[in-house]
Amino acid sequence: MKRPAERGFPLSHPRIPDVKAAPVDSEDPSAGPHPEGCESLAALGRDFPSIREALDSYRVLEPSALLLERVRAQALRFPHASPAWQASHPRPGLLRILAAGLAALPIVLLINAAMGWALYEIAASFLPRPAAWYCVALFVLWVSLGVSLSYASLPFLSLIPGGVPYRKGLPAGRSAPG
Amino acid sequence: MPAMRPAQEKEDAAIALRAIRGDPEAISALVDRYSAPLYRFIQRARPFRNDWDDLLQETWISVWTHLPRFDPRGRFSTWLFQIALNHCRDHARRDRVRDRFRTEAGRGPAPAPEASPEDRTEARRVLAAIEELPDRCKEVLLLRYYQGFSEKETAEILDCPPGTVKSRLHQAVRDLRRRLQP
Repeated sequence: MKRPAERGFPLSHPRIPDVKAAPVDSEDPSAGPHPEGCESLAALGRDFPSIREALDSYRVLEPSALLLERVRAQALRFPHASPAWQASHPRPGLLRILAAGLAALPIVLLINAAMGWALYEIAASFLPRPAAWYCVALFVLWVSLGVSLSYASLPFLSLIPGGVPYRKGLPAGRSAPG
Repeated sequence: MPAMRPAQEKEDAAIALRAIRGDPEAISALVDRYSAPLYRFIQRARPFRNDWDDLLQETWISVWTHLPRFDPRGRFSTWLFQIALNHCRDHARRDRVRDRFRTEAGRGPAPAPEASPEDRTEARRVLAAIEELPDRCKEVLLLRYYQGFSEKETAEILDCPPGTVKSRLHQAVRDLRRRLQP
């Protein structure tokens, strides 16, 4: 098997050959120039000049017209493609926010109850009992105010433009972490 | 898909917003613009498989499902390729048996008609070597070398720092050199 050099393939190029000029009949614009990506491959290209040539000798297929039509048809059938869906469907962001908030409510109440009990025990150790109960009552009042205001503000989160910020790192399509 | 110009990124974001509101023309525009680059990326990510059509459809279905959650301040192209990459990873995990050189009639990487037998053999050897790279290195190689994404865009797609992209690319080159040594 003739090595690339024996076929007259120039080995002295500082870059992978033809990195600036994609093959004329290539339908793949991703075979085009992107020098930044090629810099670290240049050294490899010097040692194995056949790499780019070999990889470019493989063409990738274009999606068929039938496949594109199917993709387009699926897209246009999607619920959000219909303005009527947007008008009648409740905002999914708001429901999700309320559900998450209500799911957390028992834990919030449990933690606050534990803190109130601890506060009573501490206060009762050096204050008269009525005074200790007064402290706990104040604590309960402020906690109730805080929890009420927090839950009352939940619907306003759904008014953030673009929806609640999407959790970075887990875009659509990810079915498992890692 | 070379590094996106800012004007094109803004145009994509505007089209995506119109698509969120249900504009059929905007939806079709996104399909027409990105289906081919996605399909090519999927083929290179899974060169010896035949599930490219399914992967393309699954990717677009995920896109339409989650499009209302797309942040228009981000790049639509990197978000799109992130979804495609996740689906490719999911398919790879589900593969129980890797038949590296299985191709069906008319499918699989197609050598250019003018490629000599030596070129085709060499290309297969290089493709097999790339396929054997760790997934994290292969992905960086595909996104940087074939898809033409910048280091920053690649880092966004892979959700890692740009320095990690650089180091993975160097590792990929080092591994390829070792595997291709005669």
